[in-house]
Amino acid sequence: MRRFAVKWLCLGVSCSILALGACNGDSGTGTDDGGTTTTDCSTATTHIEQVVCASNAFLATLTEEQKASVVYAWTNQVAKTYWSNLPGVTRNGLKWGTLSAESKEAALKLAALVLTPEGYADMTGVFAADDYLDTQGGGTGGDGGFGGPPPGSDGGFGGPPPGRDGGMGGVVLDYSSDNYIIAFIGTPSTTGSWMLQIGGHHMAYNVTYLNGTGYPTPNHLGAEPKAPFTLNGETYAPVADEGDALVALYNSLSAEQLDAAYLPGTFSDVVLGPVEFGTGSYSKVVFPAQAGVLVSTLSESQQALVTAAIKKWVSDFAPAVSDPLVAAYTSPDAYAHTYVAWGGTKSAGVNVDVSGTYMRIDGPRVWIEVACQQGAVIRNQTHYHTIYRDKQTDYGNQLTP
Amino acid sequence: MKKGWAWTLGLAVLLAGESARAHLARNTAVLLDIGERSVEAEVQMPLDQLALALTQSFDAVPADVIRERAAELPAYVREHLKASTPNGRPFEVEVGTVGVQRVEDGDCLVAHVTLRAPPGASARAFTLTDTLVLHQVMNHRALVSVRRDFHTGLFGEDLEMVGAASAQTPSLLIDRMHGSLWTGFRAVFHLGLRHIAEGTDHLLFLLVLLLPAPLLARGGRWREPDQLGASLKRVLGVVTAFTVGHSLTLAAAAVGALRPPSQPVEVLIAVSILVSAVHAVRPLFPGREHLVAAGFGLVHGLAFATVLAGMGFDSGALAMSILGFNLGIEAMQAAVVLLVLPWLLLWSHASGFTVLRIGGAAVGGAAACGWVLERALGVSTPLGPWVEAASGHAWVGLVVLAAVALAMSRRSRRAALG
Repeated sequence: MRRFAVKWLCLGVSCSILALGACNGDSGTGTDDGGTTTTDCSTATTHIEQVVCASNAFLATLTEEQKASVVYAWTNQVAKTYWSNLPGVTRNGLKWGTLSAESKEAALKLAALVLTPEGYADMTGVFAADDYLDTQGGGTGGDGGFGGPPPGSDGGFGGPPPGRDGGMGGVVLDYSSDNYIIAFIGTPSTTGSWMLQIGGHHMAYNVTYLNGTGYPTPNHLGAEPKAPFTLNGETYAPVADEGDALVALYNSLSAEQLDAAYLPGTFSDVVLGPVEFGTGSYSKVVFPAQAGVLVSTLSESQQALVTAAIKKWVSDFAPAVSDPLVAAYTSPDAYAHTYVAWGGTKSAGVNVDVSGTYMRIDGPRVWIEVACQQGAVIRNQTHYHTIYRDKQTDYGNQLTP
Repeated sequence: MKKGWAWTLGLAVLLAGESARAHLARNTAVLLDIGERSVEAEVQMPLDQLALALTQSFDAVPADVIRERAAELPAYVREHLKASTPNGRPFEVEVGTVGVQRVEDGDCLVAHVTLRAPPGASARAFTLTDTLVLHQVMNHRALVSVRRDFHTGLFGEDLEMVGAASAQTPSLLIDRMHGSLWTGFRAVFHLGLRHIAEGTDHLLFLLVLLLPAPLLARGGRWREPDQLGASLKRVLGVVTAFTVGHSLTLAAAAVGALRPPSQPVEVLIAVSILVSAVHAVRPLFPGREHLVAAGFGLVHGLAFATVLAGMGFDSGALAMSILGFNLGIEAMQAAVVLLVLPWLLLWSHASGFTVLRIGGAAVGGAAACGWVLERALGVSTPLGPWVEAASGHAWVGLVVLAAVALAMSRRSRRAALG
């Protein structure tokens, strides 16, 4: 009698498990179907919806193993500060060279949503520049022996984790777009907090989304060479327009204004590169005392050139992200506390073809700087290192202790 | 003069091996060894950035600049590196050797500087002001790390980053008051424990020396088991003699009285295992084990001393280092003896102990031969790695030893009763 009951019980449990399994299978295919249909992000209307949709579409192209190494915990403060303007530094996420064609396409789609066409062209141009360096013998380092190592070219601080425990010893200078990375800190969502990193040598897009609002800094762009170059039949000059905008601004300044805007000291690189690299803290990000010529004292046309220069960096990012920032950076209130300044060889003037020439715009929030360095591979030319920071909202202002 | 030689040598090194990575503008590294009354600082300035700071010219060749301005560099360091107590009393700055050295991926001007606290003040909390290079190069950074600080258990193995100096913030407060002699003592004690636990050769020496300890030697052979009391007394004598021996050399080497090259010491240690292994098979020095142990202790102490060398430059910290490290070694040794000896004593009264003694001696002897070949002749043998791998399963070995010893002893008791 008892055995009979046990038998029925077993049968019942088995049936329930089977039924549950079938249900799970159903709901599983349901989400999958949903996933594939929403990969077409046309139903997403707002910027954040589109970006999250494109992020998920990219993630869906990855293998489980790849997925595990591309998304970091939002609480990983240290990972947020993993960006650098040096080659050969270990960065977060997946390398471009390891992505399938499908994944690459999805990543580019995502980038195209986060950036404007101008910003997107900067990104692909920087990729191309590293591939171009590779064709110019960049992979071999090519120092030409002792006698003239270029002092302080292609430099940067930050780089390896502070101290000496990484990255720099035995760096292989293998310039290639394959070395660029994509990573997420936190899971992409329209309401939560997360960060998209696309970066590598000469590029760091760190876009933090907090409850749907995007913050695009810190942002590093560079390119060697700074002059237009041709690769595979296409001509690129990714950071040339940024440089040109600043040159136009400084060319408009009078001799007295240039004199007042001059900064003493030597600049072998940008001042606020990845100084917080791998620390997860703002503690090392100390902005210098403001110096130079106050923008509010400039003529209307000169101020327009300042605005145009600021837009060259900020408007690389989708209007939903950049519009409020441009407004904040260029308001009369902001310009009453924004300075333009330059440094380098004073007798040479603001000459971007001279190593050490340095330009910056320093406002209550906006911080843009450009350093001109002798090329690491293309030695007879200088190239740009640029930094754009927001003094209030770098990393979405998530690194305050 | 001495300094001149250092310069010639440094520049020779520089000219010989210039790297392709000279173009990475690197940080200055400031490494601090913290004492009670003074701080030793090693400042590593990347040559290209230093040359830029000195000439303000991007076209200058760093090595030429450094060569031409060699004479003024100590004064330059003195001018730009300062320390003061938290309430502003300046430290005395003494610049020692300054020379070019290759550091990781590039050439640096390396300056050794002593910062002495003013009378009555501690050197454990101070404001460091470093404007080297960054007085001129606005984007430069000096990463400041503590390398040695007995009070916080830093012995030069790892660096603890404590801050960065920049043109904006050239001063930083370095506060090491959180440490204590007790913390340092514990850390160095653990280092001693670890050193024995990880030093397979030292452990093996000890184990092989223990193998014949329960036995009585007579007529050039190991005979029947000795009385328990006599055995224990002998083991105690051996361990104490070994301890005395290595404590002596450890102390002598740590204070700098002895600076033996490490290779012959390592070879001698391997030889000591070999001799002990032979002794375990046939008594070589019966009744004089403690004298041999003391002699080998002297040798083993030299090996430990390399760990302590340069650990502390303060006499107080150094004394604590030697004491703590030695106690750690003793504690670990005592633990090994306590874990192994009872089973040896138990088994020695049963049958089959000869198998263990000869087998153990063979393993020890083989490993020792491997080490001798490796360390003396540079011949690589599979024995070393094999022993290292086996030592990872030491606990399994102990359990097996205990089980077999128990079984053997029970069997022979039963046989005696039967």
